Amino acid sequence: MISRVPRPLIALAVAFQLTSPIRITFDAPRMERLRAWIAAVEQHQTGTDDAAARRVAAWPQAQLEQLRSDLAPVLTLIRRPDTTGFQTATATGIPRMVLYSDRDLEQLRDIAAQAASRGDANRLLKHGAMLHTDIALLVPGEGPPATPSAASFTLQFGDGRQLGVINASGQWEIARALMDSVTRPGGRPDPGSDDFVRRWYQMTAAYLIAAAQLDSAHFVRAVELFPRDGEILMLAGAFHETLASPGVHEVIDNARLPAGANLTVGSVREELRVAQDLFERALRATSELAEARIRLGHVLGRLGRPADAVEQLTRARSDERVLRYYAALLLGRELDAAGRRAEAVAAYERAAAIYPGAQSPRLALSELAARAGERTVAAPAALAAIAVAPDHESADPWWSYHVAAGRSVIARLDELVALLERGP
Amino acid sequence: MSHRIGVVATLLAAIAGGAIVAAQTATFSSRLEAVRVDVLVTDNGRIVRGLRPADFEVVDNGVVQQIDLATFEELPINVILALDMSQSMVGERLDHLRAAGRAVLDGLRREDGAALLTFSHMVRLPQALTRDAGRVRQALDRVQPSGSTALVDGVYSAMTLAGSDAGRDLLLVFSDGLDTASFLTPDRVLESARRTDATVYSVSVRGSGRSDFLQDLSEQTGGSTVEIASTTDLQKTFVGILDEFRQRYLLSYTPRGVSRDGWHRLQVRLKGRRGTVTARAGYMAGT
Repeated sequence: MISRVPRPLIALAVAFQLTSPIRITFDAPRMERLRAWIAAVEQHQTGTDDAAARRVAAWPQAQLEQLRSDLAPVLTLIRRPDTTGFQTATATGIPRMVLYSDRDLEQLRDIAAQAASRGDANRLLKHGAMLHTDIALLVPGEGPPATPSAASFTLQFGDGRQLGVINASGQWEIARALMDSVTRPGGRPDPGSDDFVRRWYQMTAAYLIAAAQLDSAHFVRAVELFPRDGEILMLAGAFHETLASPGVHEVIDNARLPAGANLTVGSVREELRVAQDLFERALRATSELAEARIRLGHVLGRLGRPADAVEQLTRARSDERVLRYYAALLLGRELDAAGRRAEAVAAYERAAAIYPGAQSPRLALSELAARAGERTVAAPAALAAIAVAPDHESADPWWSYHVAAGRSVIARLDELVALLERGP
Repeated sequence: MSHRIGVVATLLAAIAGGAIVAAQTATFSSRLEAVRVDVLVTDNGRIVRGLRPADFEVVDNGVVQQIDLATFEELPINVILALDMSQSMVGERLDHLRAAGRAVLDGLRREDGAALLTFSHMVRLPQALTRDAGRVRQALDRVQPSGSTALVDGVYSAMTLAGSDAGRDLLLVFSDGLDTASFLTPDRVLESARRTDATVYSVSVRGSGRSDFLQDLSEQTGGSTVEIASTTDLQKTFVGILDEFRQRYLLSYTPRGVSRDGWHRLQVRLKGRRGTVTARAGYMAGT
């Protein structure tokens, strides 16, 4: 909420902040790090974990955070080489003037001129963001145990239990910050109007889901920037759907965190409702997005609305095998919940035909028969389901339902790399 | 599944109301379904032995029934081991689980049967029901943990292994965590469980997340839930369950005066004796 303050007072405050500049001094290692970062960005081959990526990956989070602010004058100088006035954002949102020594300014101008010789500021920002993305995606590394002072931390879990809490690497944060500085040509920062930024959020959101890395800040920012992008809305919905899944929500609910830290996750019902809203928005943006419709059906079913779920799942149309399987499998469950047993059987049989090695539809068929007292059908059907128990993990896509929304990540990454190489 | 004993009733039809023209026979097949109820009787925590049919009263949907049979330690048992083989079972827990499983197999008699079913995200049946405990032991040695936990899918599949005509079925479930992967839902499987004769005993590890499903299932089938602090004493827990199960009574009666289909609420009481009776809450009959 914004409280009402007389206008002259605000003007006075702005004037005071602008007239009371911050003096920033670069020591030698700090200036060297800035040079090293820009060199790494230029040397890095996008989509690989090369030496440049590994060098930057070794930097501690505090240095990465400092780099974010140190990069600001360089970007300003790339855009306006003759500028003498620099500003920095403050916690209040009111910019403050920044003063650099003549010596520092000279070096910053030199760094900016070298970077500008390869392209504009947006190019540097996008290549920089991809460097940190590649580190997050490809460079193995384990953060230290989480400390109360950490800006953000990562909760590690598997098989429904907490495995650890570590300080976040900071790679995603700096990548997002770099993208936030992307401008329209000659204009102010406006990442929401940039196609590369949009595709970057699509790819990274898909990756975070595929890798089961539940970074809520990433999805929040993606939706803020692209509130009408069907793909991003669908991926954000899948993220909240995952938060509401039993194996995840229970862990988050009972997480042992560093003192003072907390996780902003709603109840299962709240998360399902957020997911529902995002899927519905995704479908308003792109009505033919079958996956959003299937996931909406799943969420509606979990919210106890089988008739609505059946409607969505029936309308989902896709040529993709895995989506046809999910639609049939989940439709079977919701038809059963709606009391339409014969149709449920037909839907499960369809799912079993799409993935003959899948256990889930066969077990469901057996269980339907058992509940109806058809023991002579139920027992052999269950045995048949168990007998198909395969050795390869993709035999039943149900097992990967919560990460499946991210299955397009490789194609999206290739697309992004090609786009970056092509240039503006 | 409700266990049914088929009784073929042969009816000699005679033509009455006048002179018998000819003697004819017609055979009608009629299935009178016997209901079996596995019952544990304790008094101050101690198991009460030596009871007879006359000591029990079974009320089926409010109607007192005539008990035909009450056996104790006479029928063979089938132990279905349904064991969590998800990733979290790696290491010491797996060693403890194998030792506990072996101890149960060691406690079986020649006429008893056993099966081993495991569940991670997928359900596997390393050994179907057999009287050869050695085969189950070998299967137990071979299983390896991996993946997530499809507890509900696994328990449902194990229930379908029960229901053989020979003996009583003990479904012994062990899980060290929450369900993270099942497709089947707990409420539907609990509904299916209304038709099983198997008694479910479940063992879970404290602090791994409470499973209402296992608690509800055990209560519904007349079994019990054991929560352990660690798997160190798992062997003792498993053997204790087997011992307790052997000391249960199997009551059998043919329902009379109640509707054939639907849910039958059961109450089992002692007549003229003190004690606590643990039995399944009821059974589902018909379609």
